Amino acid sequence: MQWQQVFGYRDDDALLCIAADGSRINFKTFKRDLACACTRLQALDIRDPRAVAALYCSDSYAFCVWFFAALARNFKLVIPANNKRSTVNALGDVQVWLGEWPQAAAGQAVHLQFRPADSSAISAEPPERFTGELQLFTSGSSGEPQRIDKTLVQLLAELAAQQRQWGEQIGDARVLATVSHQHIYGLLFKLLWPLHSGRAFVSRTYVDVAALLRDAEQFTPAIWVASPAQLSRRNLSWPWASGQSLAAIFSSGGPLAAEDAAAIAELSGHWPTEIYGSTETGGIAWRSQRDGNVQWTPLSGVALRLSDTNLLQVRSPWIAGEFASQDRARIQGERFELQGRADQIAKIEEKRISLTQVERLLQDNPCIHQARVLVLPKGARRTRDLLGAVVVPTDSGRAQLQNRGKSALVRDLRQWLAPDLEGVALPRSWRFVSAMPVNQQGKSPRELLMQQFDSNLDTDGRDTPQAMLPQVTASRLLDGDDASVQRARVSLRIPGDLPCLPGHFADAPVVPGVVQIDWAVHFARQLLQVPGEFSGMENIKFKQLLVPQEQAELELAFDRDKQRLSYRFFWQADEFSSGRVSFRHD
Amino acid sequence: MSNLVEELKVLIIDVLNLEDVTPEDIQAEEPLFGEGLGLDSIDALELGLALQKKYNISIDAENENTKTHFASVNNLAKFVAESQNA
Repeated sequence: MQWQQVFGYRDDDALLCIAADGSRINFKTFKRDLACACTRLQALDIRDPRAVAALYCSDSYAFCVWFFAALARNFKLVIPANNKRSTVNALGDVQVWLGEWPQAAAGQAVHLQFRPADSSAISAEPPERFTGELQLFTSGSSGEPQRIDKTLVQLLAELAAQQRQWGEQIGDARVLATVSHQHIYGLLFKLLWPLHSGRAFVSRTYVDVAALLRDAEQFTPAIWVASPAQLSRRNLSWPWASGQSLAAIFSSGGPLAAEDAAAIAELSGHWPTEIYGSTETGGIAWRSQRDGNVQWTPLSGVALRLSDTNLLQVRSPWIAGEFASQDRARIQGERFELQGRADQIAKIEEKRISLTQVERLLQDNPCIHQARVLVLPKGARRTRDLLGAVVVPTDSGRAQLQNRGKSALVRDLRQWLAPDLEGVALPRSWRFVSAMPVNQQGKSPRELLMQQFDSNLDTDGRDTPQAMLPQVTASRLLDGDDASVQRARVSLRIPGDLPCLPGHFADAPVVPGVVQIDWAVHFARQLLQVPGEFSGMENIKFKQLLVPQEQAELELAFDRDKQRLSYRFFWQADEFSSGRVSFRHD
Repeated sequence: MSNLVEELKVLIIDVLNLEDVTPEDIQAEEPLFGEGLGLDSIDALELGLALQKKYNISIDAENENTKTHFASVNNLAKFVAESQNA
């Protein structure tokens, strides 16, 4: 791609960037910095014509210079979402590390940091063309990022479509962003679009919306490249009036909730323009939620159809072939409505998280035998979506739980995951169980695991301590013949180290009757969501002693109408105990 | 000050849904982000909002000092106390 096809600046004096220190960088300075970076890359002793360079910079201007220098040098340029250890490992064979990387990353390879051109570079000429290819990653915060090949031609083809759509509205507005350029949305909207249309961007990535709003007024006309993470977290005391000076607010990464769109419109005077897209496809469509609209309009050049399973299939000039998305949709005329994802990839705060990757990392920990991870949606109990983990500990994990407590173990496990995962991918809620709950088909569907988090027992402290529970080898819900009676069965074994075993009879350790009743109530609350306070029991029978190392089955039936639980401990033809427990609600 | 430290610990636990964490689990000196308590960038946004609402203080996240203020519960307590007296 030729130089003049990429940059849209009228002349050398045109403003290109407002640097992190507030200084203004014009097109001429950029060309000099780029020429200098190109000289440094040319000087490297790398013969492989398709050498791989990895780029990570927190500063957008430094990123920009390296981006074009690497493409001019014909490197294969890899742009990961972050510079975490798991990313470094996943990148594999990299000859040149550009920007900010952990020291260990480089190893024997070259590691170059950005520096502005010095006077010796004044004579250097910027490159004439950009031949390298690039690779972006899906917005995964797990260690399982998917590489997506892109060409500069594709990226600029999309920007031509965006410019046709929004060019008139935004004019020569400066770009202020609260999103990173390491992802496709930020790369396109914060950097390449202004460069391509001859506008300026503010180099830093804003954390504080108040500061962005103040700067928007100062740099007016300006646009805000945002995402739902910031737009959904507002403070009325921020200088929203300054937002009136914005020419537009863009949001991408995930759909914006209707109440957030409306609140932003009221505060700033702008209905956010939402962009629907993905790393694989680039931009697909846009919408504004003004007047209660929920439908998306495809960008010009995008062709859509639905698969047999109603998944959106996308073609556009900036995708090679047709892309089969995992988004369910309904097409109505020219526009469409999104109806959720079809796969196991969760999205939290715009970051795709591979739940299986988090599970695999957890299962590598010596304390964990088995782990399942799920998204716990925002609601009465939670102010945001977050991850929950249901964990079956190993013997050593069990010992840690008993000796050090849940909080200490959870902290260790989060620290175990931290080097490989971004913060939002670290499970926040933890449940330690003796066996993974399964249904009759032997599967652990999300709904069943969800009960571990949203049953009543996790908040009011009524739960039986882990150390006082038997070892569960299986637990499942049974189909009932009567809709008002729910049934479950738990297979268990009595551990030899159960604290309640001694003391009942002098020489014969047994499970005391009161402990058996407690177990029945515990598992009924856990598996059948039995609510209310224990109010009485009847028909309690103890037929045979339940002793250490013994196996047993616990059968539970909860009658919702009568608020009564029937339980029975047995093994094959032998019955240990049975009874009924009733509950009341205040 | 020690009251404020305890109050902030409870606020952090409530605002960030840290269900398995008690105030005693949070060391006043330990890092809140990264290692230590291990909070993430979204937590920083949430916590910033909650502090601004509860104590009616303004936080400039772009200011380099802000990183220091958010480094630990102790620093946060100092920052809140100073901002309120200012």
